[in-house]
Amino acid sequence: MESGPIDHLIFLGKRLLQATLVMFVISLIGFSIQDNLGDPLRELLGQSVSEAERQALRDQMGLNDPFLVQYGRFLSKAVQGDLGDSYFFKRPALDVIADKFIATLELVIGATLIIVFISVPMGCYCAIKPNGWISRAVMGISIVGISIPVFLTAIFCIYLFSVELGWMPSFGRGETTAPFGWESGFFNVDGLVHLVLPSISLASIMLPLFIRLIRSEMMEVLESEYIRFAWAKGLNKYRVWFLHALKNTLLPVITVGGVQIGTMLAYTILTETVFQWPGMGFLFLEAVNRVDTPLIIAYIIVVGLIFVVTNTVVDVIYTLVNPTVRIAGKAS
Amino acid sequence: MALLDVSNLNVEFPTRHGTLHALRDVSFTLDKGERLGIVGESGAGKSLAAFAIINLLSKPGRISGGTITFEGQDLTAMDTDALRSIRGNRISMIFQDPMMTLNPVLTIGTQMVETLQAHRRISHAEAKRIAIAKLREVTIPSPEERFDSYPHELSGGMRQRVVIAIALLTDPSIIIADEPTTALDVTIQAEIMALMLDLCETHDVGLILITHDLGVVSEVTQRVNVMYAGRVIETGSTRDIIDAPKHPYTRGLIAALPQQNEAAQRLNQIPGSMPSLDGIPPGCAFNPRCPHVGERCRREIPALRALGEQQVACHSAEEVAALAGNGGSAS
Ligand SMILES: Nc1ncnc2c1ncn2[C@@H]1O[C@H](COP(=O)(O)OP(=O)(O)O)[C@@H](O)[C@H]1O
Ligand SMILES: [Mg+2]
Repeated sequence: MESGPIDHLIFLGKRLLQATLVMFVISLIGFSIQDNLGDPLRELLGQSVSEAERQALRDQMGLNDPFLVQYGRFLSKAVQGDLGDSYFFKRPALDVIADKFIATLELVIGATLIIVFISVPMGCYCAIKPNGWISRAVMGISIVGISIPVFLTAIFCIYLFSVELGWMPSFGRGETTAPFGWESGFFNVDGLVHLVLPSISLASIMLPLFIRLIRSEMMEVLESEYIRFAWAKGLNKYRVWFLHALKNTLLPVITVGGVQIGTMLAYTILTETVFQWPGMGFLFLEAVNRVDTPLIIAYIIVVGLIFVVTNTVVDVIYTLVNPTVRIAGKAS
Repeated sequence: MALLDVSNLNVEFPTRHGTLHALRDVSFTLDKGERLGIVGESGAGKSLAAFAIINLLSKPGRISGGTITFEGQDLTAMDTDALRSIRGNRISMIFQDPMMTLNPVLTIGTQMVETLQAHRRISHAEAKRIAIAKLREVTIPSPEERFDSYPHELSGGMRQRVVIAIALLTDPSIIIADEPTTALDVTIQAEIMALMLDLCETHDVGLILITHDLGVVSEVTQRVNVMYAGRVIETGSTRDIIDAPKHPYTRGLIAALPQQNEAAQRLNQIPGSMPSLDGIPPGCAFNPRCPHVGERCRREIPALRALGEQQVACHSAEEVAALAGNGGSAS
């Protein structure tokens, strides 16, 4: 009755096909906004070049070819890792983004850790004691929290912890070291201190959502027959709550979490701007201001890729860890 | 003294529109190794009576009166830890739907070993040995492999066998089975029931069997409580009650049994349905459906009283008893 390795391969194949399809659509969208962002030649050459020269260059660059031909060329280069050169940096757009990737990753990891370590205990507590005053307070604050924009949280954090209390630096990434070959702020105190406020701000958008999600999932699980049976077996409450109920609660939360990591990337643009955090989001905003089209497109495609990869990985992990999903695939 | 003595148990649900009295003055006893049936239509309060014993009533429900004496101790006065040492250890439960009873994300083995380890200082290896022996006892094929299976890898019948094995793990003195075969495929219901009966007999375990099937009750139990709208309305030995019911409701249930009247007429269901808790009529709760209803039945709640070998809560019990005698001689 167990699902064999073949089922897993088929499932994996389907998921990969889906992911490829989504990437294809993202690349198409990314490519087609090119025309809407102004004439790339103007960015390259300035105003003082004659119309004839301009046309010659257009032909040479293939800008007069039909859309599909241009897109095909774009795609074949893209799969080889070439998304064009940034107009501003005069370097491959992907390299420019890669330089900033670690900084953004640090922020996302910091925010994710904050979310996990706060939302799981709080969500559980509010589910176990739904009528206590702490739970009511948490629920009340979280509903307000959902509607506070990130930049307000960020400015409030800066005001309180940097300006008033002077505990935390208000901008920048701080010192970075590279004990494992990549430059990161994770491995020294100054880098970590700089990470605190931006991570809190970024986490603040998702935190209320996750507390509420975990609470409602867990409350539902606690009402189930198998939990009643666990009580009837005489298990102690911690085993019932934190093994029997929590494991069933977290499985659906993992899926939502995967999707939210993608959404969080979008919010890094705001957070990085407020804190002048030198990451991909900050870079993107600069690229928009400079109409650096290749860099904008490269950013969209990279973020799209991260989104698709995390979703696929989360889906696959979910299937592997959840025994009941394994047959669901089998039964169909 | 009886092993379990439930006396004047009252259960209520406080709601916004007032308090619902779900169980009223429910009393019964169970001796060591004895098998008691609790029958009645859906909503009669059978499950509540079962869950109240180990204090596992669902949310707003609470015991508002009465005592539950088990091995000399009052369970209603016990703290959580003391109660926990009885739940799943001295008193085990078997639930209705085996598809919902086992935790879907934990292996059968985990769910068995944890039960033993909750009640005994015992190594994992020793617990596993006992668990596999129990799985073998409930005739699960290749128990060593099943030990590592997840519930969904087993059929409904196999899962209920696992639940029975879990119930027996700690050698309890009472098993409470709440409609243990209702959710199963009809073809295996009798098999599971026979297995339970056999295991209870060999281990001398007391059984409280909750069911709406009087047929099963007559095969398995020695005594029976008939419940209606939160009250025990007739109680006595299973044989006496099946042969000579003295409450019109019990009589109706028996008349509705398929084998009793297959030659006679079609299924002889009692007309009407049991009132919900907020719509119980004054007087006897059964009076709107009762063929023997009299003026007194609409005014006065009949008390449970001894009549012959059994106890019955009906103003017209003598009349019904006479009918039962006639019915018996006619067939
Ligand atoms: N959580 C609850 N809140 C309010 N009423 C309840 C609750 N649980 C059970 N009841 C009521 O108690 C009565 C008895 O239920 P139960 O013991 O489950 O019946 P059954 O005899 O079918 O097992 C029913 O009328 C039901 O509506
Ligand atoms: Mg029930």
